[in-house]
Amino acid sequence: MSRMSLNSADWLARMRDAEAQLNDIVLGQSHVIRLILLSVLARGHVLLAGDVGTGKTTLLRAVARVIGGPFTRIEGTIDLLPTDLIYDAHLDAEGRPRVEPGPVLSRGEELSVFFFNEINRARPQVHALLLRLMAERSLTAFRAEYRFPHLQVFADRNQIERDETFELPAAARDRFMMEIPVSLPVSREDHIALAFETRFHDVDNLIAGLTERILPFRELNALAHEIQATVHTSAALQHYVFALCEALREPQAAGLEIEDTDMSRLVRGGASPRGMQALVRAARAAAWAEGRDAVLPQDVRAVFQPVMAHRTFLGPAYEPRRDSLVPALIGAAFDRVPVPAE
Amino acid sequence: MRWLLLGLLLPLPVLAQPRIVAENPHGYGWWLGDELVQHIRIDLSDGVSLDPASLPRPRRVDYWLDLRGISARETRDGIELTLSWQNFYSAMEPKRQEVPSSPIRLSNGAEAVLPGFSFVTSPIRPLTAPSSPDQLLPDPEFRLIDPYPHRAGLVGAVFMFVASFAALAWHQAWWPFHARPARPFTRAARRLRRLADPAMQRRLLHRALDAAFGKVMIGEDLSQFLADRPEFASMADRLADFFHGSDAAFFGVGPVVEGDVAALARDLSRIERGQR
Repeated sequence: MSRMSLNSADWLARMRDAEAQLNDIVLGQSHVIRLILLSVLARGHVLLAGDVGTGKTTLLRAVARVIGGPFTRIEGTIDLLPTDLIYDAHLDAEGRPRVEPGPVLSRGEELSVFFFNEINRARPQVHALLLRLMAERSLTAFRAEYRFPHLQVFADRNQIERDETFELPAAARDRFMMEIPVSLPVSREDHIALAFETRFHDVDNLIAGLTERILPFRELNALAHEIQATVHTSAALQHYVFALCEALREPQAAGLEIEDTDMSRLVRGGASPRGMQALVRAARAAAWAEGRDAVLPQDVRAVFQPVMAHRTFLGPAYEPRRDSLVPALIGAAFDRVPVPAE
Repeated sequence: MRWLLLGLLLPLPVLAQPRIVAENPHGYGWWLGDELVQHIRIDLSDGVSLDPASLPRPRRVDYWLDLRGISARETRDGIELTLSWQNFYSAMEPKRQEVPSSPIRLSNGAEAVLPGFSFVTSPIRPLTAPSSPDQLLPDPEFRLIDPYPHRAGLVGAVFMFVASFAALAWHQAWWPFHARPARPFTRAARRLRRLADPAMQRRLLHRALDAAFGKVMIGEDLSQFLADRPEFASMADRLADFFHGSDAAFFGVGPVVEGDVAALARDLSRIERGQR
């Protein structure tokens, strides 16, 4: 574990700076930016889901620049093979076949951001490889084991097409700390600015304008460790988090109600221990980002949906309506579970 | 003269009197209260009938005589009337009383008379004989009417009435079934008085705030709550302090700042009841 060269107050100032700069180049997505930064602070992988052209890729590239460190990206396609991530097979200048390290390995073990574009276009074999990379931050290649201690995986998937896409398996989704829905900016001014201001037309230039390594990637693990160690979670908050997750698992027992829905059949599974762990990590990061030394219910509320929604699996009859049902379920849980309760 | 003869020969309906035969009660031996039944047979020619409106009505004919009833029965030759009279003459000595005759009218316009009759009525006992109670006949045996079924019916009917009225009142949301606005703060303020533990007091007020907000309320929701319930706007600072205090008490690591939860609940309750 590397030591931190900055103290907590400096880190917080840098976090705010990074947030402000990101908000300046990606308009109308302050909520998404905050959540991505929280996942950076909690060292969790992020899946962005949204429509085409909402700035997902720009945002992730911008975050990668703010963190700094080696960065690699790969486009998900249907013919992508797991080995394509690791090895780069090609013919060299002399015409001899050569196998060299692929996208993941080419930047060495310092790799800080691995950006998987359109992850749902890749096939399940690729997802399986990614599973290990995300869970263990390690990979076996060239008969050697590679470790990526600073690695953070950002993935995005667009929700427009269904043809030639592969839904992520539950296990792979569970490895992502957050799935953040990205929607169009709400305000008219943001839309007009994005369309008319010329600085938004050149994405490379826009991202180059960001200060690099505001949040130095080599020290993020230590920061995350300190945040998790120092931000207090009281017994009342622990009970609250448990009751929320319990309500998500057993909505009927918790007395939740959603119109036109049989609550006993709604939820098939979810809110795994890993999910709860991710929730607590993210909530601690949220509290720290607000400058507090203890997690409050609003911190849990801020991160609950992006952390828990994609880990909640609905009954077959309700899965097609998950886009409306899962937020309704989570909203009902927050409306119903009392805090402070005991 | 010739005209006179013609006039005698012409059949005059006015002169065509029906034959009336009366079968009167016998003329002697009647006492006070006796009913005298008179049968009168009237022979009517074809096509002629008795005008029922002209028959005497059952009535009090005289101070001593009632016509109690009159009935008519068609016969082959005409009609037979049955009149029942009742004598109320209290005679001091045997005395002849006259029942008057009554005029009637036929459908052809002719008029006739139902004949009267006379009878002799006598005292029941010697006038000079002393009166004593034992001369009265004993009362007839009587049977008490059992009121129980009627009373039970009354109770049942009253019960049904009350029950159906209550059901109607419930359905129409009349008093006492009208929805009273819930008063969570008032209830909490009342229960707070019995609680000594400050943590319990805080929890109780949190539940009251949840109830007033309609869902679980945390510090972040305070501005939304005040927008929904502007009557509590004057309490904004104290509520914010309460939430800060609760955050410190339940979730924080620092020292707990004790606020007067009971006083806050009392003031919220006062606003809730519209007294402030």
